[in-house]
Amino acid sequence: MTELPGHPGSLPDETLPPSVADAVARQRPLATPVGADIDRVMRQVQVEAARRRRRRFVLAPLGLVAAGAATILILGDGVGAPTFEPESDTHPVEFVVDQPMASGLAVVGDFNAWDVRATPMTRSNDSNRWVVTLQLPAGRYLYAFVADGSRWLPDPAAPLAAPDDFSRRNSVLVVGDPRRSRQ
Amino acid sequence: MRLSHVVPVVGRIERASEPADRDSDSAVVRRVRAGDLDAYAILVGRYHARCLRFAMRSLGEHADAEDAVQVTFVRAWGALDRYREESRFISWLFAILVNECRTVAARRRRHSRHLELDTEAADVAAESGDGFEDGERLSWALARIEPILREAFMLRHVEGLSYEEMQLSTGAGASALRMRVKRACDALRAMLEDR
Repeated sequence: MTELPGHPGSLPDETLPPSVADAVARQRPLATPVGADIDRVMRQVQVEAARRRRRRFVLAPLGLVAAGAATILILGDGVGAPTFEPESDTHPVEFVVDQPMASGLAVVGDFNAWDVRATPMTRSNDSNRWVVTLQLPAGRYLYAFVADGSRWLPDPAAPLAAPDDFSRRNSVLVVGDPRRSRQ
Repeated sequence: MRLSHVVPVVGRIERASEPADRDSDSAVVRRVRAGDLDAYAILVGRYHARCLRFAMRSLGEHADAEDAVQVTFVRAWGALDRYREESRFISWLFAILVNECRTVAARRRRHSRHLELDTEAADVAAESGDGFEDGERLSWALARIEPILREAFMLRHVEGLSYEEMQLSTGAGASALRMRVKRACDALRAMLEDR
């Protein structure tokens, strides 16, 4: 464990200076969330739940259609892009990106709740290329790469989605039949 | 730097008042997974205030904080199958919230100067003596330290997460987190004792 500067062998302790402890103790009490706060969240959860139910309904027959589909490969300028090969229920999708300076890379998206720890990528032995393969159901996904845990990068070789509610630009991935996409 | 006076960190963590439903978080999660969507409102009710406080101090603007909390709860619901009951629900939820707040802050750095403007406004208020109640001195001081230190301090000393839980929430190692909390304490002390 790292030592504190100027204190060889020391570790940060679990105590607070009195002034800081006093300020923490005097925080304004937490307000009980009003019904409107909870309702606002639950309305969005219900919208998402309805969207998922519709997606399940569409995807049920899609597995039969996709079984004989050809391999589709998308690679833009060799920089980075997902490739996918349709199967029955899920499709293996390989995400590839060149980031020579990164010490760690992950892919985040609708498929992993945008969790930067859920899907780390692996650096190829003989290149600066980072790869990971996921099994995804058919549908349309938004995704991005995250370098070194905090630097978000859209895929330079994939189309960008329109800015979302937070003005964020992510890349778009369509798996399987785009006419039956999940969004 | 040496800490000359210290007090134990005991009994300072606030708890949101809980609704009448006393099921454990894990029990509620099981109900939601079984298809009881309404049960998710119990978890929202339990943790909305804590999430909003964290997001407010991370982002400095109420509208952004509310949006971040809403996105967090929606994503948490969508990923509930991946929640493992051996960890506390709140620490898992904060992992999503921390990520969302970082994303919003990064986007804002590219597109606006909200945080800087908020800090400037806070400075004016503090200097004029009419901006902060005593209980909000912590918010005032937190707004002036590095975001990564603020995040670690809030998770540890405001939200009461263990370092193990903080590792899950932030992706950082325990030693790095301890150093961040220590540096945050030093910076906060310097500001709070200066006023």
